[in-house]
Formats: sequence, structure tokens, C-alpha cells
Amino acid sequence: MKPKTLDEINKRIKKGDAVVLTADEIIDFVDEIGVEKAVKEVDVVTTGTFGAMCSSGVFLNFGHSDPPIKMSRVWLNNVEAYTGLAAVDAYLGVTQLSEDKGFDYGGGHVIEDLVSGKEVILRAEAYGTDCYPRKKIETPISLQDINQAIMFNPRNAYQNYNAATNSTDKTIYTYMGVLLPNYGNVTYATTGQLSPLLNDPEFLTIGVGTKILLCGAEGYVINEGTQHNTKVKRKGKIPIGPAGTLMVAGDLKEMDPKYLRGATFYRYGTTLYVGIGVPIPILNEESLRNTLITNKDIATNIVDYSIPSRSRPSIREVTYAELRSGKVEIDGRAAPTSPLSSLYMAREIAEDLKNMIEKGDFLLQGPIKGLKDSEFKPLQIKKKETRVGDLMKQVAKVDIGAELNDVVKLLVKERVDHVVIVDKDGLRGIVTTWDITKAFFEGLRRLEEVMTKEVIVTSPEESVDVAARKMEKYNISGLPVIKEEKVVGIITSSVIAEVRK
Amino acid sequence: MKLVFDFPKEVVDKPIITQIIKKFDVTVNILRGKVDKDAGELVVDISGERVDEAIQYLRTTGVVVMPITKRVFFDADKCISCGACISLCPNALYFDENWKIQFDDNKCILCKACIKACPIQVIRIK
Repeated sequence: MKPKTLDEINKRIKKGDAVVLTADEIIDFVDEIGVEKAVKEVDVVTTGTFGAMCSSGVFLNFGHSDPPIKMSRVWLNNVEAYTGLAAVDAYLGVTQLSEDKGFDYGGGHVIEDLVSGKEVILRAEAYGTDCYPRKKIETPISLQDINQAIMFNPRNAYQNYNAATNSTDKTIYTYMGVLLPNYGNVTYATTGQLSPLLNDPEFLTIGVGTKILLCGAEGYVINEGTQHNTKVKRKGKIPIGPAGTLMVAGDLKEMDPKYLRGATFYRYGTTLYVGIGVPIPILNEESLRNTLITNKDIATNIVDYSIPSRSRPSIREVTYAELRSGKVEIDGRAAPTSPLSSLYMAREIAEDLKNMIEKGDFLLQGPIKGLKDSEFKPLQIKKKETRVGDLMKQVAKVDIGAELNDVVKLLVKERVDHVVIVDKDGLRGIVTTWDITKAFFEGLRRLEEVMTKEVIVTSPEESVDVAARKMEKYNISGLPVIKEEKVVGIITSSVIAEVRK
Repeated sequence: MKLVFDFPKEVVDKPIITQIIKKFDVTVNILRGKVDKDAGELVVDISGERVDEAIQYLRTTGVVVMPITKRVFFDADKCISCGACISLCPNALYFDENWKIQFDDNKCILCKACIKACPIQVIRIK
């Protein structure tokens, strides 16, 4: 069969004759009539996703006030935008937090408010120049008042992503949502078989210039996204875990508030749920076959997000069919799953795009250039980094058989705030000066009752930042340093504070 | 009937639940409870012929009685059905056949696990 061209497909779209199916519908359709017939009949397959996409934001141009100002700092509803551009241009990123509301409101929420027609407060500061004498501005503005508001997202629509879990005995709060202790749940992103880049795994039809539906408006792929990675492990053509990404842009003024949403991931930060629909033209058998993937064919790794390291370990591989079933097995137990992207909304987006194409309201625009192959490189830190081992101090120790009085004597004699309690097998507990104060108040006299038994620890190789984060998180002032199950020292928050000064 | 009993400080140490069981022959299934020296909150499923009398009596002791459905509010119009809450909620939140999140307030035990998980803050507990 002669391959179809995009022009032929567009002609049929204009006439209202195009056959369009969503990436969900195409699977059953081909099952029924076979690939050969379907290639001839189907013109376009629509895909969709609606997920939290942190690498998103808008370029804004506010216009000139009288007298004019060269804005050196700008806030919208107290969320700062980047102004290292010309006088009244700014870029507002979705993860920027409000200066008064913190995690509850950020750049993503400002964008949602603007698109919903709400006024936001523009505040700007400047140093003043001969040509731009004004130093301050504060005024309500709406999307209508702004000259250009162009959504420009450096990285959207991840082709596959990790699933997340937590092996520790404490709940953690991450960009993958709330992760319960002891593999208590698994969260995952992407809409699987409906997801745009999983339906064109080798970017045959998606490239620079491809027209897409971005938050309900016409948008374009303008480049491969940041962290675009084509050198990944695959199952057939389908990457296992994070791979390709898209850089996209579109006019915020044309967007539909239904398809973008400011969001907060608890104790992580703010972001924006972005709705993207990508049409896949069925040019030949290969492009059709690419859209036939099902959730069973797509695999990813369940990664342990409790390890605060770049190379978090994978617990197991899993398919999207298993993730979608609501439970996956880890360590012989069923962990409930949470998708983080909305399949319900993604289906609406794919359906909307299908309707627009069927009605002749959305013509396809193919790529003018392919997406570059690339590898996602880690950041090498070229200076030697300080580790816990470099900063740790000698630690005051007593045996588990000691009296509370011995501990108090040691604290005073050594002029320290922490004494660790050990036995022949290693660490058993820790007592701080605060514990002693509390014990005095509560009338406790036995070491066993006073010491903290569940001790948060570190190791000589651990990064100082990771150790500092532990102290901050658990609101403690020192961590015993453990090497081969023996206590070899202690690192305290005051030592870290001293070094950071 | 799913109810929330809020025990103020003054009555937190009184055996009020035992009293209503003995006096009114009601069955009290405690679904969740949090009691400390300043206040107590019990989420219960209560049944029996004399439930109304039991509730009346509870109120005279100072316990605030309220149906669960009056304590939790789910904004279905705002919900984007992402499902971040699903793996944390014991019973009440679920996907329907179209992958839209539904909330059954009768099954909620006010554990509040969903509150932190929801990126859009569509669930509120009073």
C-alpha cells in the first residue's frame, strides 16, 4: 500500500471525512478489522495526558506604565517571576512559591487564576534609570490587560516515568505524592496506553513544529524537552521508565481553565496540571502499529523514593496494566496504587481533540525537524564535597548498664549535648541535655526511660546535606555516625551551621 | 448510623460509651478514635432501637454528636480525578468505571489521609 501523506489527511479533515479514533479506541478497532484495513481507513489517532508538569510557566509582557519602569523584580499575587529580560517582560514558573502563602499557592495557581479570568496583583520594583525612572508599581491586572501571555514549558509529556514507593518506616512527602511507610502504597504518573509519546515511541510523527492541543488551545512542539533521553532501556520500542520529553508553547489567552490546574504536593511544592493532546497521523503501517500498545506492553520500575540519592534503587519492574489494577505486589504484600495523572481528564482531552479534527477545526501540522537523540547526563560536582566523616566529632558514650547520673556527669564533664548509649552490639539509644531537662521535670530516673531508642543515624560517607535534612525533618540536633554497626562519632546541627556560614 | 463524637476536656475521662451501651442497649462499633487528656474524637457506627435516646443522653453529658457527612466535604466539581488520594483512603474514595473519583461519605472514617495527598485540596474536614 502507498503511504498516506499529511496533505491527504488534511484534505479529508477539511472535507469533514477524516476517520479519527482515540488511542484507547484504536486497540479494539484494529482487533476487529485488522491492521491492513485499519491503515487505509484510519487517518488520525488522538492521545492525551493530564499530569503535574513542574517544568512549565508563562512569558508575560505587562506593557509600559507612565512613567515607565524597568522591572528588576516582579511578583504576581506575591509569587515572584523572573525578570532578567527586557524592562516589562517576565517568566513566571509554576513551582515558584508565594511569599506569604508558601506551599498553598504558587506560580501554577497564578496561571490558573489568570486563565479563569481573575485579577491578580502585579507588584514590581526597580532601581530607576534615566530612561525608566519609576521605582515601584502595584496594580491589579487580568489576562486581558497583559500584552502577551505565552505558555512556554521546557519539559512536558514525559514518555513513561518511574513508579514510586517507600521502604522506610516513616511516611515521606515527595513530588510523587504521599508515600506510606513499608511499601504502603505505590504512585505512578502517565496515562499509559493513552499517553502521547508512548504512541509514537521513536518520534516518527512528533517533532519540532508538530501542532498539539495545549490546555485546550492550539500549541506547538518547539523542541525536544529538557532531560529528553533516547538512550534508555526498552521493551521492544517502549522505554522502561523516563525517556523522551517535549518542549511546548501556546497562547495562554486561548486556553481553557478546565485543562490546567494549579496544584500543591504536600511538603514538596506547587506545580501545574497541564492537559496535552497530541494527534498521531496514520501515515503507514508502522505509525498505526505504534498506537496499538496496551498497558500490558508498557513497563516501568517501582523506585524507592526514600533513598535521597540520584540513583534510587528499583524495587521491581511493573506494567501499567498491573498499576491500573489498583494493587501491585511488593515483598509478598499487595500495595495499593495511586495514579497521579488523571486518566479521566486525559480521555476528555483525547476525545476533544478527536471531535475538533472530525469537525475540521484542527488541521495537522507535521514536524519540520525531528527531535534530537540525546542522553540525560548527571551533574558532576567537580569540587571535593564535604562528607559527614569530615565534620564528625568524637562522641561521649556510656554502656547500657550505666545510671542516668553517669550520663549527666558525662554531659557536664565533656561539655556536650549528646551522649550515646551502647552495648557490645552497637548503638542502643541517645540522651540529650533536653532529655535530661524533661526527665527532671517528669521525675524520671532510669536511663532506659529517658533515652531515645529509635535513633536516627548517619554514616561517614553520607552527604552533609542529607544528614542536615534528617535533622531538620525529625527536629533533632545530632546524628550518631555509624560505621560497620559501631558508633564512630557524632555530627551536630551546630557544626553543620558553622561550616555553612 | 455513622457518627462523630467529640468529647470536650471536661468529660474525656468519663466512661460515657459504656453508659450508653448499658442504658440504651445500643451496639457501638468504634471505627477510629483519638483520645488524649485535652479532647477526644470517636468515629463510630452505632445501631439499636434506642439510638435516638442514646444520642440525646450523650448530648446532655456535653459530648458533641454529629453525622460524619456533616464533617467532611468533597468538591466533586473541582476534583480532577488524578487519584493521588486513592491509595491512602481506606474505603470512601474510589474510581468509577470512567476513572472518575467518587466519594462515599458514608464510608469515610475521618482519618484525614486524603487531605495531605490531594494536590487540588478538594477535600475539606471541618
